[in-house]
Amino acid sequence: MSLLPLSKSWFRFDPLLALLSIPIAVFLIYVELETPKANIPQAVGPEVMPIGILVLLIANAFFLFGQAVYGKGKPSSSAAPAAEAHSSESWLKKYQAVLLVLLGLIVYGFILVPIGFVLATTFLIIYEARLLQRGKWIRNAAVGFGVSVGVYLIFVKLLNVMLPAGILG
Amino acid sequence: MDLLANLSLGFSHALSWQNILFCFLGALLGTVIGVLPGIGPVVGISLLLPITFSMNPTSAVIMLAGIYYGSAYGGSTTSILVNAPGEAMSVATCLDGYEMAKQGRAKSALATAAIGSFFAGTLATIATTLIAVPIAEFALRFAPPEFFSLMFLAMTTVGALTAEAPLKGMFSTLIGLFLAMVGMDQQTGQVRFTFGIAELADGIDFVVAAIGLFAVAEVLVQAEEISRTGAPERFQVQGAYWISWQEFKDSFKPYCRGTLVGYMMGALPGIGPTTSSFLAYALEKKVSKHPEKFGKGAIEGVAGPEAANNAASTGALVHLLALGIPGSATTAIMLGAFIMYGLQPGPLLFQNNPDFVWAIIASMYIGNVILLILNLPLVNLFAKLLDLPAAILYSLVLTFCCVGVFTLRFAVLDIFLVLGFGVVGYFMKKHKYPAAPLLLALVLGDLMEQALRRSLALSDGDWTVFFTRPISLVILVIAAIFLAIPLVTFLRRRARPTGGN
Repeated sequence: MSLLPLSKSWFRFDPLLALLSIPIAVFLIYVELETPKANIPQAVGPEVMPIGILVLLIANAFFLFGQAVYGKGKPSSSAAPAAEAHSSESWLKKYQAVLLVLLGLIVYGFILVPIGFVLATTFLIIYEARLLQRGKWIRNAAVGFGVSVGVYLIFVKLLNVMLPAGILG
Repeated sequence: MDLLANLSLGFSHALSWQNILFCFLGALLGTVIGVLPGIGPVVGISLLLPITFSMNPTSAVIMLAGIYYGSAYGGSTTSILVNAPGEAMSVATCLDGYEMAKQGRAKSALATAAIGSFFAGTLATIATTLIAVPIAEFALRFAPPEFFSLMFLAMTTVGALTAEAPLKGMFSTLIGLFLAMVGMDQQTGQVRFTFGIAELADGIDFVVAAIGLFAVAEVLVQAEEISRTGAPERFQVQGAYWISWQEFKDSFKPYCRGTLVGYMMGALPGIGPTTSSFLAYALEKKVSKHPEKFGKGAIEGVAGPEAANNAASTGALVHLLALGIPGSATTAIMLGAFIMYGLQPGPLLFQNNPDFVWAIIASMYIGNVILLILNLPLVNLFAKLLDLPAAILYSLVLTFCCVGVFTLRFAVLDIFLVLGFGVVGYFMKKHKYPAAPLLLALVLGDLMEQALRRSLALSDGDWTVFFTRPISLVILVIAAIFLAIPLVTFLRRRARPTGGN
């Protein structure tokens, strides 16, 4: 078996995931073994099941790696991204939309409590809608504000579930 | 004759205009609660409980029961329309329900779910009327070893979901099991894998994982698609009718099988509706002449799990009445409500308060009819949601995902967790790793560990306890068959020549 096809086939999702999960699982086993245990006599301690799962995960990762790299009739799901990786499309461009959607959610997580539910949610809706469709600012702003206020009133006034009021509170 | 006399006594109470009104209110609120992400029946009943204290106990429990099974109806709506299961038991519905919506068959999927829920709810109520007590007594024979074996069986059903790539299914299951270990160990109080984050001591909430893996991941995939092609994928809703005769015929047997599986499983505390919906899905795929259609919009993949989870919900309620044992967090809250009303659920309740018990059972017949009348016309309204411009629809989905997870415990961490699960779900979707096994394992993992440790405590550490108890052994043999079938299929497919490619 030549090393060249082997090295090429490593740079796909399945083998990389399998390879990555092995050291992570070993690290987690170490963490669990090092955790101080409660002095309660038990037939099976709290470490048995997590360690058992992680050992199985390592075994599964080896099989997954073997199947992805050496197996015949490799799953097409892994071949497609491999082909995509060779295309001229840059990684950043490929995942640009996904990253921008995620960025909106991250910002939302940070501003929700300080500026309040209504303003943060209005921002989120306008931002995400703008990402998915150019223009239509007025429509997006109207929907964003209307939905935010509506949901706030339903949760806070009707269901008595508190949402952050922020600077409007 | 006693049965008929009791039932007519129940109907005489349940058919009073006040009780019909409260049954309607409960069913309506339950449907709304089921549709709203994050506000599941547990939160819904907890919020509305104080309102019922001033009411007559029978009317109060009729309304709470309406919320309980109404939310099971409503939960399927978001699973089908936007791939966002608000409840663990609705995950199996996503697998084919959302695919049907993508193909323009949202109305059929919603109607199948509504009719299946009515069918299963009604049959389960009839079964309750006839055999509630013996079934509940059989469930009492389940000790920790049987529970462990049953949950192991549920895990093996993922084979049916991942026949094309069993190693990926296994990987997904193991990740789900591991995530279930995060948080405080119930028996010793030891905190595991939280890495100093206090909010993780309660573990990872199923709703966060489900919404991330399904709904957020779907929005990410759609965002990528829109950025690439410039045109969003529109789910044109087809058909003037809710469901065609052929679709109804295709759904009928899955309804029956799902109801049977669900009702039997509903007797088992903690795991009934979720486990039964997955088992029903696996069963449908096994008996189908076209298993390759599952996961691609097979109507049987909606009918079976929907019937199963509704039958299980009804079953769990009955066992609460008959034995006083709550089968889920929701029924546990209802048990608390019963006690507050001065009623002690259990066998004596049937003797001491027959008018109350039979009024509840009679109201369940009425409630199921109300839910069908309420939900079938709503099919058109809900399906219209898919006509919203994609930019607005997906922005709203993301907003409701965030609101849903934030209101679980008012922790911003959950928004970041749902985002993380969204990214994981996105890659799982792109690389064909099934998300459903991860969720099933996350839901059952903790219960499975407790059952394992209690079993071994009972047997002084003897692992043969799972094989020496007849019920446990039978369940394990069934699990072994479930495990072997996809493995054999996979090995046979690999052994076959690949045709030169």
